[in-house]
Amino acid sequence: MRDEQPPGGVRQRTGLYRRIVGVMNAGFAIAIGLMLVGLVVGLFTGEHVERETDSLGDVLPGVLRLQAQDIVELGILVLLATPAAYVVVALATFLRDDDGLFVAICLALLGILLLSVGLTVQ
Amino acid sequence: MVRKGRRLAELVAIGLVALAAGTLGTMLGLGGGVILVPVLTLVFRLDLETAVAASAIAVVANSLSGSGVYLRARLTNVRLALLLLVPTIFGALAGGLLVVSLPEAVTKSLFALLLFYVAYVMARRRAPVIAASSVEIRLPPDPLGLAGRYQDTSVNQIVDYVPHGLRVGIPVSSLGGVASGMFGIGGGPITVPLLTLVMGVPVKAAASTSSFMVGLTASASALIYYTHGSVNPRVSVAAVFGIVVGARLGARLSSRIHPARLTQVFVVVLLLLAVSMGLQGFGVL
Repeated sequence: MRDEQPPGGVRQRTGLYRRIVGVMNAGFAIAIGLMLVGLVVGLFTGEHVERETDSLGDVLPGVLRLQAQDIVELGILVLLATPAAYVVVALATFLRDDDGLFVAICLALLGILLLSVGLTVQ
Repeated sequence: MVRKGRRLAELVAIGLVALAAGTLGTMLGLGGGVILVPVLTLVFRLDLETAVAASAIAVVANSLSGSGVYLRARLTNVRLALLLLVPTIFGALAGGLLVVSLPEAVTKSLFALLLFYVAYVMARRRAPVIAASSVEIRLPPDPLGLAGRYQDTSVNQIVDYVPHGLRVGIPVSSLGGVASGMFGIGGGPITVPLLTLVMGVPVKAAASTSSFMVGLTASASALIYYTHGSVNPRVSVAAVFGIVVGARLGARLSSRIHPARLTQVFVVVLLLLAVSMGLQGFGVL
């Protein structure tokens, strides 16, 4: 169902805004939580969180081995992925609303992000 | 043991600097990166890539923790933000790739120029003039559905606006992305003037929309730094906690401190940082 359209073309997208805030809060909380856990693990194991970052594929195995640096890095990666997650949420909303232009814009944004990660990993 | 203590002290010091940068940056609507990056390079002698990466990560955290309030108040124009993010992210990627390929001296000199620009903009900034109720203003056509509406509690008015000037706004917003990508400062110093002066977005909506945009913009460039191995997790975590706490402190303090005096102090600090950064860029410092 389309949102109400007040004069001047203003669109009130309460659901979209609420969902974006939800994703932001969840991503932020998980990221900060992981960083804190990583620092605490480092404190107990004596591991220094200061070597160069691992490649993306090495982070999860390191987390499973409870390595402080990899837990902190996972927190950083969750933080960096959260903005992309709210673009996905916006995409779903625009798809439901048959808003073709903004579906295309969200797909373009996600495409650029994926391309950049792909290019830099290579 | 002594080395470990020194490392811990440095971590705390970086966190405190980030806290101060976040507090000041929020009070002046600039974000903390514009102070944090030069201090990390000039005082802590970190290389520019590491400082920019830490700042970009802290900018993402700050955007995520602070944008919710503006979204709930409907100050953020999500549709306009998403539209402008396409060229902005292209700019951020270009900036991120430039910073990992340009000689550090060149990047530092460019950063010094940016600091001079921000100082100039801040020095010329006047108190915002509250326009008459926009209800009386005839709004332009809005074929893309970009119009915004929010309640301005300071004047107890509903504000309606329709952004215009997209032909200029879309290409220029990519410059905000380049600044974010190269210097890890978020695109605020470029995006906010663009939205208000060129696109006719009220200043509160412009600041909120810019704050929302810098989260995605900075995350795009930070991913480049991450995959390039420029992220120092220790420095980044200290910057994240410092900036996020500082931003909240700044939001509370901003109503208690006289903005004109604060701006004067800030302009002087920026000029000092710009000169130091420039001298370092030319190999003098």
